[in-house]
Amino acid sequence: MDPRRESTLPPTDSQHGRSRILDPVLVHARHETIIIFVVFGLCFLWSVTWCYSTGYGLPADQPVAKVFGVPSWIFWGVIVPWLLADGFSIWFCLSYMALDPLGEGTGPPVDGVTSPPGLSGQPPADGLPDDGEAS
Amino acid sequence: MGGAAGLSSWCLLGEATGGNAALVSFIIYTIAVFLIAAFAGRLLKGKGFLGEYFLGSRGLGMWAFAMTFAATSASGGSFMGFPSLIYTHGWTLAFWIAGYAVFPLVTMGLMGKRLNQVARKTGAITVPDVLRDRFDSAPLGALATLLIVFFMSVFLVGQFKAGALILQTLLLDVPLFQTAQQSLGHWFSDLPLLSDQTPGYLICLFGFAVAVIAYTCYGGFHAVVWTDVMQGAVMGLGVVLMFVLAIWQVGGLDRATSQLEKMTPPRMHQAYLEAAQPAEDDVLIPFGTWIAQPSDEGGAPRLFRTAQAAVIERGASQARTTGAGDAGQQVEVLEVTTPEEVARIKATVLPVKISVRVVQTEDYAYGAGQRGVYVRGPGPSATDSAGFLPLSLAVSYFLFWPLIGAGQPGNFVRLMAFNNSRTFARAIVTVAIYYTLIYIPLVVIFTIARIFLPGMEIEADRIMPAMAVYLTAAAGVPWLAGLVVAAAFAAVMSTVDSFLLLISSAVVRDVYQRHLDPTAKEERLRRLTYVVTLVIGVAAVLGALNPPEYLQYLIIYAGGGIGVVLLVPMGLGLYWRRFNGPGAVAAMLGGFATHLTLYLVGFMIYGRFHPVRLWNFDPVIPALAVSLALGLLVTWLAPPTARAVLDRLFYRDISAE
Repeated sequence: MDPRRESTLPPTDSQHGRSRILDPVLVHARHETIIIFVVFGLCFLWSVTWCYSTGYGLPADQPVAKVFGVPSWIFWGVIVPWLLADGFSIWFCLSYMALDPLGEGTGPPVDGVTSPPGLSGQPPADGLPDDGEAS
Repeated sequence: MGGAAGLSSWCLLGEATGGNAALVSFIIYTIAVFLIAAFAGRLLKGKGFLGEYFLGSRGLGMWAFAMTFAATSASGGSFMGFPSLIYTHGWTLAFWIAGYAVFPLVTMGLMGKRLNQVARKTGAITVPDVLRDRFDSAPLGALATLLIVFFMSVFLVGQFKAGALILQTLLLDVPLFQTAQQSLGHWFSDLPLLSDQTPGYLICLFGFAVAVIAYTCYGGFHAVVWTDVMQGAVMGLGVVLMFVLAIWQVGGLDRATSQLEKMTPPRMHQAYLEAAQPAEDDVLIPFGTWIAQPSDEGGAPRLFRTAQAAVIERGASQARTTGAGDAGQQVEVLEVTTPEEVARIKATVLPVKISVRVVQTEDYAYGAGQRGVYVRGPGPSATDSAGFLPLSLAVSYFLFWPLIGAGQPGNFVRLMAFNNSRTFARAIVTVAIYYTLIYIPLVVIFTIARIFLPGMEIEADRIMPAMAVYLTAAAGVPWLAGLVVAAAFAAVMSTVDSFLLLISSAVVRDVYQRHLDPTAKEERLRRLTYVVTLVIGVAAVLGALNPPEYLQYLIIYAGGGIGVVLLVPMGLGLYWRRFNGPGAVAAMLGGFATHLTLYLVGFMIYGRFHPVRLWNFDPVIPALAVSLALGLLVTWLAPPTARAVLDRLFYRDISAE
């Protein structure tokens, strides 16, 4: 499912006479976070297992294999997953990640006016600009 | 290793840099920084002061956001400590840094969009602001403020010291600087606080401090961000330049790795340096002197390098060290053990023939006498019999870099400051590519440095400027050394300015405005901000005048500690509705206490500021586990956050849609 093209909103929750949905930014960000954790885990497994199994405990009298001048255990265990992670980042960020509007800074004022703990819902008074996506 | 003696060897290297090129590079660089800050300062007019000064009005575009994130994360450690480790332990450092493959994705992607949104919804401009408003808890905000100020202050002192040392290296061969050292030396020596440091260090510390405090103070967040952009560009350019020169001069990477494979780790000795006959006049044996002599057993010749400056006084035949406080006769020397290097390196010419009589030898705990240790795991280690990077530590570091990076307050502030989602997505890609172009070439450059600059273990922290000077001089463009060394300087500066602002925002916004004077007018806040930034900067300078003995370890402790304290509360707070204030406090204090305890127990066991490593894992890993476990447990036991807060932050009202 590509969130960029997602048109359905999360399930509604009617309470106190108001209809509400989980914040779409939260839903998308949480979904993306899970994917990032999976990629992090895959890179971790790849690098650690590859490097440990092919780069550690090698017999001293045996020359280290090289790829483009780099010890092969580093090339396949670090550089290749690194480049693949870059490739994934490019695809993920430029083609998959939802371009959510992030809001307009509707929190309490920050300058020179009382800022009570919690949320007041007052409009901003500090001249913070709108989020570009929202406008 | 002898600081003053080490610097003397830099004079020799410095001669190759070509006159005042380094000074010219530095002056141009500093002027550019001030021009940027002046322009940024003009932006402050006509806008809400705190929002603009501390967060740039949430208006960062792609390049500014990407470069400030990248430059702030890459501190002096990336350009001083990391090259030193690569030089000392070889290719295994690529595995050590492998977590950076996902660093941008994790540190920016995990929380960036959601944190930015929550900060907009609440009007937060600092990290404690976000936590306070998310959990509807003023005490939690105050606790976050306290911990941030504590950890960042420790970090700031270390970075000021690093900045001063790099600047000193950069300017060492500049005649004007040498004259200033001589002129001001007597004056400094009469002042109680200043008498313990060399005049050169003090001049550089004050120069660095004035520059960075002035532009940060005047220009605020925009000045920091835009100078970060320039500093990031200088860093990238410097690394790429060194990478090309290193590969070209060594004759290809394949050749370099083959030579590295033949190398064996050096040995450290305590030895007597002796002349055959009593000296007719004082004979100075500078730091880094190469001494060759036949083997005792009639085998291959041996090659030593002095790790301390020494002198044979007139009428004596045995040398004594010249470093402050070293009155002993024994001198620390390094012995190169790779036969090919022993044959290649020429001994230093001295007025009298010196021989080395070894008294005590310290072999590497792992890798001694073994060929190939610099191209295999776990890498040689002088102190650890399991090698530099045993599996458990490799696991630790792969997790350490991205997770701790994701919990850094300096990164949080930047994630609150980008202008929209498109900027955010493009910036992650930019930082990913930038880090690939920085970190992998750094490994290549400084493995090659082992070939060009043998015996640098005696001053490994200076390998970065040494390699810059060597490569540019060998290529016939010594003036470029200033630019390359400026990359390291830029890395420190870009981190210092960010942390300076982080601490002053914590004091002005989170302490003064929140707790002392909520109705303070803008003009008062503006003046207070300038004063606080100045005071914090001056305090950091005072700390760097006489830094604590274990400063490097304190910096490592502070970097890991702040990540441990903030990662779980922020991460769970942004994504999990049920996570509450008591759970966040438990996660913060649990992580803090576990991390600190492992260091304190280590101090009791080892007698120095070194952590206990449970199952050989870095303290950050168990501390994060405890932080998470306590956060979940206490959340389960305590009531949820007020419904109104959760409704605002986690839901969207569609009644009217």
